[in-house]
Amino acid sequence: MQSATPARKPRFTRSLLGWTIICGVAIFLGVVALEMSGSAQRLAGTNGIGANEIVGQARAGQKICQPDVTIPAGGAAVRMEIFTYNKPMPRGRLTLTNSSGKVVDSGTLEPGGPQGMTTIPLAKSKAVTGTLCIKASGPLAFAGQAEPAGPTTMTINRAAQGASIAVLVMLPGNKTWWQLLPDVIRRFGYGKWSFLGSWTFIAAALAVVFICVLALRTFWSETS
Amino acid sequence: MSAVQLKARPALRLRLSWQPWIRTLRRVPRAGWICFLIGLINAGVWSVVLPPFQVPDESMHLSYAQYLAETGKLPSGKPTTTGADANGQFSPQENNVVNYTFAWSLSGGLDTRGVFTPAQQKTFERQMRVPASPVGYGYSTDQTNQPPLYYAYEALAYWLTPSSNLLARLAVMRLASAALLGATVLAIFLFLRELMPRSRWVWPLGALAVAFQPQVNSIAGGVNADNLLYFASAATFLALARGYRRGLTTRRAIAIGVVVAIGLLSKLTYWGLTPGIGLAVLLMAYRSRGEYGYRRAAKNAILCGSIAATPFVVYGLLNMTVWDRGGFLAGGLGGTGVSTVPLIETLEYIWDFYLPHLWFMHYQFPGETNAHTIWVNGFIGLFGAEQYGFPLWVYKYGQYLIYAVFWLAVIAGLRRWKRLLEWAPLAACVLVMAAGLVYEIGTAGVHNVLGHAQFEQARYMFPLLALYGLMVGLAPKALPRRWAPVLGAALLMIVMAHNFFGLTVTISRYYG
Repeated sequence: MQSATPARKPRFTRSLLGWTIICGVAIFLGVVALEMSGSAQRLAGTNGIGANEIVGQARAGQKICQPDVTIPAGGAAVRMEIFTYNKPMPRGRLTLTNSSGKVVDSGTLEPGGPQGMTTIPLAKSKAVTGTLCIKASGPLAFAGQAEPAGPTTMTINRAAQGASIAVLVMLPGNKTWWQLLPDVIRRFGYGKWSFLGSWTFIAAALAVVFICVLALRTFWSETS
Repeated sequence: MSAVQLKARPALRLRLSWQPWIRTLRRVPRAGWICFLIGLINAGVWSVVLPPFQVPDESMHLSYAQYLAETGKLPSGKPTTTGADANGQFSPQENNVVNYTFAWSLSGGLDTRGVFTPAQQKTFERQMRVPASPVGYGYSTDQTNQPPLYYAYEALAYWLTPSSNLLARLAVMRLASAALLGATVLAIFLFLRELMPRSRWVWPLGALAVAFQPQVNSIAGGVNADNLLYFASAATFLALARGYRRGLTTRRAIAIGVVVAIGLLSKLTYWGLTPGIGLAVLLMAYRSRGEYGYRRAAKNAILCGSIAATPFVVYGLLNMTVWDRGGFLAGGLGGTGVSTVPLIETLEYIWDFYLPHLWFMHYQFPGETNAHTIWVNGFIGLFGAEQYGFPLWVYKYGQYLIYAVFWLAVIAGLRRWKRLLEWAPLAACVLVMAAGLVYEIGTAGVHNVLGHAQFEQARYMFPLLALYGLMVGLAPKALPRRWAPVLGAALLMIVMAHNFFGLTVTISRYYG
């Protein structure tokens, strides 16, 4: 049985449906813009070691070193998970030496801070690969990974320990996702089949837009 | 010649022709194919976003498929020895890729990144040029006791890749998995069409809810046998709904048998659904007795069971005789045995595994196993090795949305109680299917959690994805007719946003 006002109901529904979709898309775009504008400290690189467990425990005055740490271009600070046995952070000095043993960069572990994720600014912020060492006035323990044990494992007073410390390298200051986007697109092609380069980021973004439009269009046409 | 004569005797003559199957495919509405395409593309996007081996157990699934593709044999599942063979679970080629993509450390720590800088990329490219054998040793992994159908499917993708580069092959194999999600979405579209033939907009809504579910896509974008399991389960729901609504003809009995055979050969988890499926087939045969007579109805049910069971029995016998895999099930389903735990205790643990602990219960999981965290948060999205996801507020408020959609679907069902009654017998069988899965996963979970092994993941419930599609599709119909599509559009946009933010947290996790 047809309704008494056959044309009105669909028109009302279509119009409301249209406005729902328009408002939904507008809210979604607003949230995305807001999220992309959020500013925070961002990564420049890592040494590929996970902070899974406590692996390095150095007494006061002992030098603990992690070889094969790369400071990429733009790297301004290193970040590690450092434990102090629930005491305030002791004063310490960080050095970065190249393969010929020359100190190419350094930083200071400021005393008094809490244990946990600790950021140490680098004095020169030079792009280099070398050995990162820390010597502190109190005992320290570091988070890292017990495996793989190999030529790039950490040492304490030059004695190999069969484990590696997790090192993060941070970009200077805070950055929004908008500012970081070129880096993200570049990294998107790394560690994959060479054909799947950075272009796949753009292709994936376009594909997501395409399927969202297609989904809404299909739903719209099925409600008519 | 498209017709095959299977039986000579006139009484049992069974004429199989491809034409009806092709006609059935041609009758799929255009919107169904669009849903298929959306599922395929979305999972394809996830497949390029997720770094190699950052899909649960992908390294093990890949090693099984690679071993099958390279040797033509199933892995024997011998335990790994130490020393030179310590890495013998994978081929030397896969070990090389796993090591230089930092796959293990990447799945361990939240702050870890894989190949992240130009210098690391140069080292990675150099290492990928080092020749390494693609032939593994077939040693035991967590997946070697699974049936081979998914791996045979992926072995085809492996062979068809025009490159011997494992990462190229992995990319193509991931796309093959994405196609399975497309097929799953299409099956759910058609399942909803069977249930609600007059509500056209409900079909794409429910199907697209699955196509855009980020946790599903985080599996579908990788090499994982769950993908064939999800497809087989969705196709089972479709085949049962068709058989129930239209009657159990010979062709429909064959269709049910085929999808059950695919399910049984995809992953052992499918066993949990089989008691309910068996009941449903008996129910359909009983309902068909008036139309076809008892004999033909019984024959169709037996035909269905034979088609479902025969490939699995052959697989089991080959396990015992040709492949030397240590028994009929190659050691599979062993984890579900909890013979050391008394029944009452097991049932209490299973209750605890899914639902809040009740005051009169004595037994409780050690530690902080929380059913809500596992199933609700896991469904909203805990990606990778459950190591990253959305901000906490998303889980806090997202659960209320899930509950709201669930209760709206219940109200919509009750508003159509006459139609609900028509489907009630099949719904009872579906409940048995769900209970079977819940019991199977629960007993395996009890076994593992009491053994202090991490086990529980929301994806184990994804064989019931068709019911999720039904829930989302049905929920808007709780509202009056003119408002229902509006709520449908809102739900569709929420699931699309859910997918989008699932992608962005994944991108920020690995590339940010």
